[in-house]
Amino acid sequence: MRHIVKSLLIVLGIVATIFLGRHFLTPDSWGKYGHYRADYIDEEANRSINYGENDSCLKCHSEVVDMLKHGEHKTLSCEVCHSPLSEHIADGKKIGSMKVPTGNEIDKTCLNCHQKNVAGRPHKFPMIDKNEHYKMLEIRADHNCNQCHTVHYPKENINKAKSLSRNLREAVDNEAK
Amino acid sequence: MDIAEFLFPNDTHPHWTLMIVIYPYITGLVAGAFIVSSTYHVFKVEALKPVARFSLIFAFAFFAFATAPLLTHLGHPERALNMLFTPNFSGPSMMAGFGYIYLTYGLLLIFEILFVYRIPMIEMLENKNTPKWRVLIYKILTLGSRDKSPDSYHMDHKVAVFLGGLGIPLASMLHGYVGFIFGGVKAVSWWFTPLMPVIFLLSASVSGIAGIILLYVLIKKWTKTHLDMMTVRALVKLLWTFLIFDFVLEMLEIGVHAYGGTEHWHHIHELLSGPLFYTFWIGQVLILTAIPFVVLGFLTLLKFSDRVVLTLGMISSLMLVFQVLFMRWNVVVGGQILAKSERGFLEYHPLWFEKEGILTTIIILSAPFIFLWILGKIFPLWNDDDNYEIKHQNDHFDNKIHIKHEKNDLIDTKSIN
Amino acid sequence: MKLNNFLNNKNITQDVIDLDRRGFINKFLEGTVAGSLFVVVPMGAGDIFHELAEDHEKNLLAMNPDAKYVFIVDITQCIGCGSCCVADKKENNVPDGQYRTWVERYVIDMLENVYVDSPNGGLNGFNEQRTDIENEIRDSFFVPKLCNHCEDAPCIQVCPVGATFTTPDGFVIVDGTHCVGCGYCLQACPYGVRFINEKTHTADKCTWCYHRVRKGKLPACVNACPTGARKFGDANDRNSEVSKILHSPAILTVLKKDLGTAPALFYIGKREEVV
Repeated sequence: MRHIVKSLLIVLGIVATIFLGRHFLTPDSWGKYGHYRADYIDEEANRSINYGENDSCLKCHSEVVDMLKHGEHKTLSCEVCHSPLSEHIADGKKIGSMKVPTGNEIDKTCLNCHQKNVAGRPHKFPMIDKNEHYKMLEIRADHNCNQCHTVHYPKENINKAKSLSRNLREAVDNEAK
Repeated sequence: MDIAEFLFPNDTHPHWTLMIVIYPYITGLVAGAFIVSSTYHVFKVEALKPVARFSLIFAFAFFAFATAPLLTHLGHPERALNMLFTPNFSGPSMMAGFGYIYLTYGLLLIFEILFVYRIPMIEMLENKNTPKWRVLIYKILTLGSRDKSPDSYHMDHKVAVFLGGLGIPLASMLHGYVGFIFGGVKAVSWWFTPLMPVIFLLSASVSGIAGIILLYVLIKKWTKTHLDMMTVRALVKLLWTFLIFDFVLEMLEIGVHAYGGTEHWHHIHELLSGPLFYTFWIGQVLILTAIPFVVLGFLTLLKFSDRVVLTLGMISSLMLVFQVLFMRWNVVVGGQILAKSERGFLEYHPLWFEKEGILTTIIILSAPFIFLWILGKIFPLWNDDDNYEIKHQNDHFDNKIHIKHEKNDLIDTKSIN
Repeated sequence: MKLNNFLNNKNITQDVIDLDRRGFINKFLEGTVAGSLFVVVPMGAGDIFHELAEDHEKNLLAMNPDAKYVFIVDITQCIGCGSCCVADKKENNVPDGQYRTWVERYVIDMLENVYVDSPNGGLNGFNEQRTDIENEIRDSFFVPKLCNHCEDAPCIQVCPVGATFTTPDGFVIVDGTHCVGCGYCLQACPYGVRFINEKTHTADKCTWCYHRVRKGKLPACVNACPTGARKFGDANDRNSEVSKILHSPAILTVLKKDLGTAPALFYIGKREEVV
């Protein structure tokens, strides 16, 4: 009956191997907080970030960030239009220029949010049909949005123009008197 | 009502495909074949004796390849042992049990085979005509034992019966848990039913028994050796019994679901009348279940000639082997093409030459047959190949004195050999 | 409109404007261009760059197990611009065709037909109107989707190797170094937020930018959102915006509540049709 004893020993050997394997091959920090490798939490947390926040931009570009803060676009993140910080700065050095939309790219960027007649947008949100808008204002079709609307402060020029016209009107009225 | 289809952008193609279709299929064949073997070894159904050993080897041949589709599927097969080293029992994850259940069952199956074959192996070892490579294998597999005494024979027999008995719950667990893997996923309403493990287990038995019938008859006809009709008839009866429970439960599951008529049922209904209509209702239920169900019922209840039983039994078995494959497809793929967005269906058309494609499937499904052929060279597949077994088949309840007499016979046998 | 009135007003400055309307506008534009120049001219010395770099690499905050982080999506504010999706993709290097977050557009017509779409996960925004809707539209809105960071997360339950888990501060994250890539979590997640990353071959999903939060920053998508439709914070911090919303009469709902996953992602203004 020695073969039965041998069989049992083999089974015991396999069981022991698995237990030893579990002992040696289970990652170090396993089970610190729960059934997982606790070290991964900080590995994940240490992953480098690509997007700063507007405060990061402020450090070098305070003028434009200030401008942004005063206008309707104050809730916008710089990096949405200009690509993430990590494409601009790495290890404390400038590694590349930010994307600055020009020409028709600008219109596309604006209309990505402000295109009229897209079902789904909240009704109170300012939306525009470019063709309609240009036609009404008698503006040539090849103009871009930013030729009237400062991208970082959309109503800046409009407001300036309004106040200028008010002043002019007052001046003309005073002259008449 | 939903005119437009919409899929979540990450949920556009099934992630579990052909590999996960054939994985439960293979473990099912293992469980089913083991049940045939244990029906003889544990429950002493003598009619199944001629296929008892074959079923064991058959189970092992498929068992050896049960992990092949899984390893093919894994994104990181080299980390597969994480299942053993850090199994998530706190979830608990049903899949985490796989490593341990598979390993335990594998050990049991191997030792069951070693104990059943130990004395035949010693005899072949001592036979001078046995080729050297086989002698070497037998030397290892007998663990250096040369003990052919009736005492050791009876001890082996007891161990084999014990392992066979223990193997029934283990085989059920191995396959029941596969059903649980699907049945426990609440996100997929076509899977989420407590009956899933039971249905998997029963369909596993069906596929295993049908597979044994097919191979038994085919090999016997091919080698032109003695085919025991009693065995075929017994297997046909066993097959029908399991098919009844399998089919009835599957239909009850759908019936209760439909009667309840929840929103989930509406999705399932669209699935069954849409993309799964042909593979489920026509393929699995109407052709591959209803026909064999009726045929096997007649074969069991009425008297037919050997020829009729053999022909119809073979055809029914073949159909049922495919029925279970269809069932696995309908469950595994069906559940996934039901979109998580609840607005439409995913598409899946297997390709021939992708990593988990049709060619890989064919290779993995053929491998057990080649392995079975190799195993057949080492382990005689049929009980009647073995004189010793026949000589001692009625010894189980004999007393010690009788055994002592037999010891002399044993020496005679040896000298004859 | 007002500018138009102003420009067409014959009573004032008509000479100036009528003579050279373009020149008039151009004068203002010069101002714009001058303003823009400040953006282009680099201001800083090396020191500031170093400060920036340090900001991003160090200063890991300690885990705060007392925090109860929640994410609130205000459907009524979302304009479907897709900024969040772009930010998320670049922040987390998400492969093309896979999405940690996405935006769905729902359009419901008067006959209660529901049309949903999310072209490229909303990465390019929604600038085209659907043309296949014949009936009058009753209701339409955008629904941003991301990981729900469920309290009873089914994905954690099914992971066979413990590769996905809830951190002590309540984030559900995936240990990509331990994941075997079986895909069971993809099946278990009712929200379809998980995918097998085609580069790493492991399960991947939104982490609510855990790496940013631990550095004191907002998740990239929240930072990018121009309308405040995405809000993130600690509900146990009485001063946080999310806490104020949670204590307000706003109706907050979760996705697939009946599945009992207890999501920590809440929606304001979620219609019944949203799945």
